[in-house]
Amino acid sequence: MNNETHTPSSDFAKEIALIPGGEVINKCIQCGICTASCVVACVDDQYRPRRLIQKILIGKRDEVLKSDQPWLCMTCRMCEERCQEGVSPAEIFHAVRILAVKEGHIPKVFQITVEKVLCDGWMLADAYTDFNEDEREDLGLNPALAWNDTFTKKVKKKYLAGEESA
Amino acid sequence: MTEAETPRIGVFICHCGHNIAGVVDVVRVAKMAESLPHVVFSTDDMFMCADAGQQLIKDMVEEHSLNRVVVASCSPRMHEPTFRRVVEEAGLNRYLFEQTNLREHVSWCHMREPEAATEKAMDLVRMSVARAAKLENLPVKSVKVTPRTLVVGGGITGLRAALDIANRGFDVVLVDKEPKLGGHVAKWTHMFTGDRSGSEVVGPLVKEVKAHSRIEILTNSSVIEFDGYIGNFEATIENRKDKARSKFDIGTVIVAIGFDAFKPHGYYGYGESPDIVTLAELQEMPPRDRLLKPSDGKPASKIAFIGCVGSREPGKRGHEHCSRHCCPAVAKAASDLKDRLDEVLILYKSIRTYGRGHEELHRLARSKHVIYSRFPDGEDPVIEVVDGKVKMRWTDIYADEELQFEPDILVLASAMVARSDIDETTKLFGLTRSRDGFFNPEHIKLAPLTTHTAGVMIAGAAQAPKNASESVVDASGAAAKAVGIMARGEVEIESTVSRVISELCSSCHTCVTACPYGAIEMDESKDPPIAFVTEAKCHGCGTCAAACPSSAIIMLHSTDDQIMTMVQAYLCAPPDTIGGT
Amino acid sequence: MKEIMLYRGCTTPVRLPAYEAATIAVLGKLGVKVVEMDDANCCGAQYVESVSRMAFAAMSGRILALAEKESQDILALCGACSGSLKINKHFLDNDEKARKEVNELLSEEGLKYTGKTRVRHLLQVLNEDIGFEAIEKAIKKPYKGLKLAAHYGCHVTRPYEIVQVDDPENPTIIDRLIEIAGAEAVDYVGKTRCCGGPLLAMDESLATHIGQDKIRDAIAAGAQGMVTACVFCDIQLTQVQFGEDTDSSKMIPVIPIVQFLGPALGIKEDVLGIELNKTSPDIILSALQEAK
Repeated sequence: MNNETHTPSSDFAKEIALIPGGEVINKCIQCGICTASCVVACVDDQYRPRRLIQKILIGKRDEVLKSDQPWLCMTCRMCEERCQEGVSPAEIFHAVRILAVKEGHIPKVFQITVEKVLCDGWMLADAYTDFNEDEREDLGLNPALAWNDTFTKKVKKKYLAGEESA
Repeated sequence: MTEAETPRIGVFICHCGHNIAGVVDVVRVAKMAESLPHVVFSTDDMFMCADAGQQLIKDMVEEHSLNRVVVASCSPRMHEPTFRRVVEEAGLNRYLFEQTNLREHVSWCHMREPEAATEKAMDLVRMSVARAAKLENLPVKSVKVTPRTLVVGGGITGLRAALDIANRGFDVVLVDKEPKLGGHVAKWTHMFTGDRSGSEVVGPLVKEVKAHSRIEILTNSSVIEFDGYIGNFEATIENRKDKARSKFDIGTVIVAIGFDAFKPHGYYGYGESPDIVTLAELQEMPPRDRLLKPSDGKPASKIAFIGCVGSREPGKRGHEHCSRHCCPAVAKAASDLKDRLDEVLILYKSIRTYGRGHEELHRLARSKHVIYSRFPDGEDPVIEVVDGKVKMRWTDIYADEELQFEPDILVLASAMVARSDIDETTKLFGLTRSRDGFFNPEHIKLAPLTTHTAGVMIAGAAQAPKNASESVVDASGAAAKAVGIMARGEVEIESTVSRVISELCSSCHTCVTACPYGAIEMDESKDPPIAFVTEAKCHGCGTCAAACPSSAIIMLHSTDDQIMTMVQAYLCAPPDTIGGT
Repeated sequence: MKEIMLYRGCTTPVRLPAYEAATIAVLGKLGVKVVEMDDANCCGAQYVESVSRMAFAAMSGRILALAEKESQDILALCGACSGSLKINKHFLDNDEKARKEVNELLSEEGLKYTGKTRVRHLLQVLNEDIGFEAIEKAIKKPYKGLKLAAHYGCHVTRPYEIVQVDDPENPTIIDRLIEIAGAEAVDYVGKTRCCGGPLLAMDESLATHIGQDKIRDAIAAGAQGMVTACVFCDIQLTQVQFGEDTDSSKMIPVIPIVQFLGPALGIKEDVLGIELNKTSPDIILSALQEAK
């Protein structure tokens, strides 16, 4: 058998179906309305939600988990709104992301931001300067934002220890 | 026309509400008609076909002693039978009625030219009046109908039709060339949409048919001769084994010979390995707990289906159509088999799960992780048999991937095609076929089960590819048509037929060959033989009259005289007030 | 006075504090008092959401529990926050195992999630809790001769079954508020499309392209400005109009709904922080009529 051609298998789809968000992947009938509605597909001619889902359905596990594609979804959910079969490509791609992360595939920017959020308790600790504090005071708002980082550190320990790999 | 009878023509111009009157000045036309030769009464009316209009005709026939009626209104295809009946009720022969088409032929196609349309209306009425003067009484004939139906084909369609007819109290002769009744369905392990086997579905029907006192069954037999006309056919049936022949008098026929499951030699390696089978062959495998490979009897763990094999091929006569039953059947088979197999693939061009319960089957298959993979038009999957293994290569167009697969069994959903011996059946019953090879109905929408041979119906897959449930619908419809004819005991035939003037016939046989309905024979009892028309078979098309070199054939109700007088009336200005032709 | 607890989110307090100030002022004027949430954490939208379902549920769950402790409903100004909180509320309400697990974590600080807290996006508070009639009555200085396009934001309106804010294919709340305030709401191609914000992380140029398309479509329909209801959308639609390949003469003001309503309700501009807006709101403010 040719090593470059893929042999279809339903195992990957079964795997995704077990992850929250991926349960109804097999309802996809490849009609294409998601891709037609997708704003990202409009501006990026390589991004095709329908194609990505068919790749999952035929079992291209490695390619899909290592790909950037699932991370380009904006979760705007227009596809979910329009799908007639009750499939949410946005949710499926979330499920793919979760699996990808477990196997060590995560875009750098996501990895860094997750780290940041869980350590500081929120995303923009670095960006909050004195200037911003003054601005808030001038507007009559409380400059002390009182973010809690204890809980997020607990969450990191419980769910994401060693998950964000190098 | 009798010498004594001078035509007294009544002309009725219909407004048809706004339909005609909105364009044609009907009042002016009616006025003009008053001055036409032999017209003793002329009027216009809102709706001639309505009760009031019909009553008007009857009243005027009586009041003015009319002996010819011209109604200028819609197309005769709409209301000729209506007005003929009215005229008959008024005491006149129905063939003394003439209809002019001022709607489809004038107001509806010349909507923006009312002046010209009115001129044309006047021309047409003048022509109709001229013809009306030449119309003659024609006898109204009926023929008796033998209360027996010949059902050709003992599959699910023939069985259902036979039972419907027999249960209504008519006799049935059921013929099938196979040794057993039940057709294809009896051989299939499972049907869709339910879970019963083919024999479970058709078995009870066969039992009922066999037990029915009014149904005579001839298996291992074929119809070898068939002659006659509606209500009065004669069929000769021969047993293929012992050559014994039986003759039957038949009133109506239902042709339900079914289909052939295409054996796709030349497609996808069919014939190169016992593990490459058609869907029909898969359906005929005996039911078992495990699906076994035909080649070595070992259990299969992965299979693939390919759809549209030998169907939907533009330019390939007899294979251009969609075979309709396959997509749901494949979804059902895949869904059932997936429970016992690791992987099931369906390679398709289209998914046409159109009917009741079909889409649910499609979704069920997918929910069981059956993989549906679409291949591009014009780029069929490549199948090779190497060392006894079936190797498939194709492009999945939605994933944009080159794929390969080695199924234990490859199932080809091949076409439903017309029976290989359908030609003989077609000639025997005077039927026609369309380009796809299946029988032509009389009208695809309005008369799908009757044919141009009056008294002969078609039903089931022989009429067009369809599944078993749809075939049964056809069967009951055709049975109803047959019973409709037989229940009256007799059927009227049109008198607008051809007639041979024996003294002029030169025995050239031209008309016999020309007649599309086989209605003309040579009467051998005369010397020389004279052409003879069986009026019940004649459709009044006029081909024989046109072809006859001796002008020995006339068309009743469309004689040369009647037609020429219309031409003259159109071309020559009518004589003024004196009247007469 | 009705009360509601504000969940600020990460972005508003830093990048668009005027939105926060305007919200407090406008809601206060319309009879809703906004109270602060103390000791909050990120809702987990977008990033944590993509790496662990339970971590996401825990983070949003804590915010819901914090409000529950004070017996308050939550007001969210950011679409992503509103979406996260609602989706996680739905998840925790329906998945007993997940709820138990999150409550175990929360119990360590004496918090508990039982689902009592409702999550309200700003548009819901305006539409349902206050109502168009009340807002109409409160208008002091209507606009005139002004055409505006409404941008709702994806996470605000979808998925409809969970967020239940407005019709997902044909939303009208902001449009109606625009009209109540005397301006003309303009319909435009791609009204319900995303602003492109979420794509900034992975591909900034594509994200900018998407945002610019939106602005262009609104201008093509005759809009003189755009009204938003999500901090992220507002920042994105503002930002994409600045840049190397943009024409500053073709810029239109982008303004949160509350900064648009504020002046019409008679609230002073400096309270609303309008002078901090990056896109000039002059064309909007100059359409204000004098007090009726």
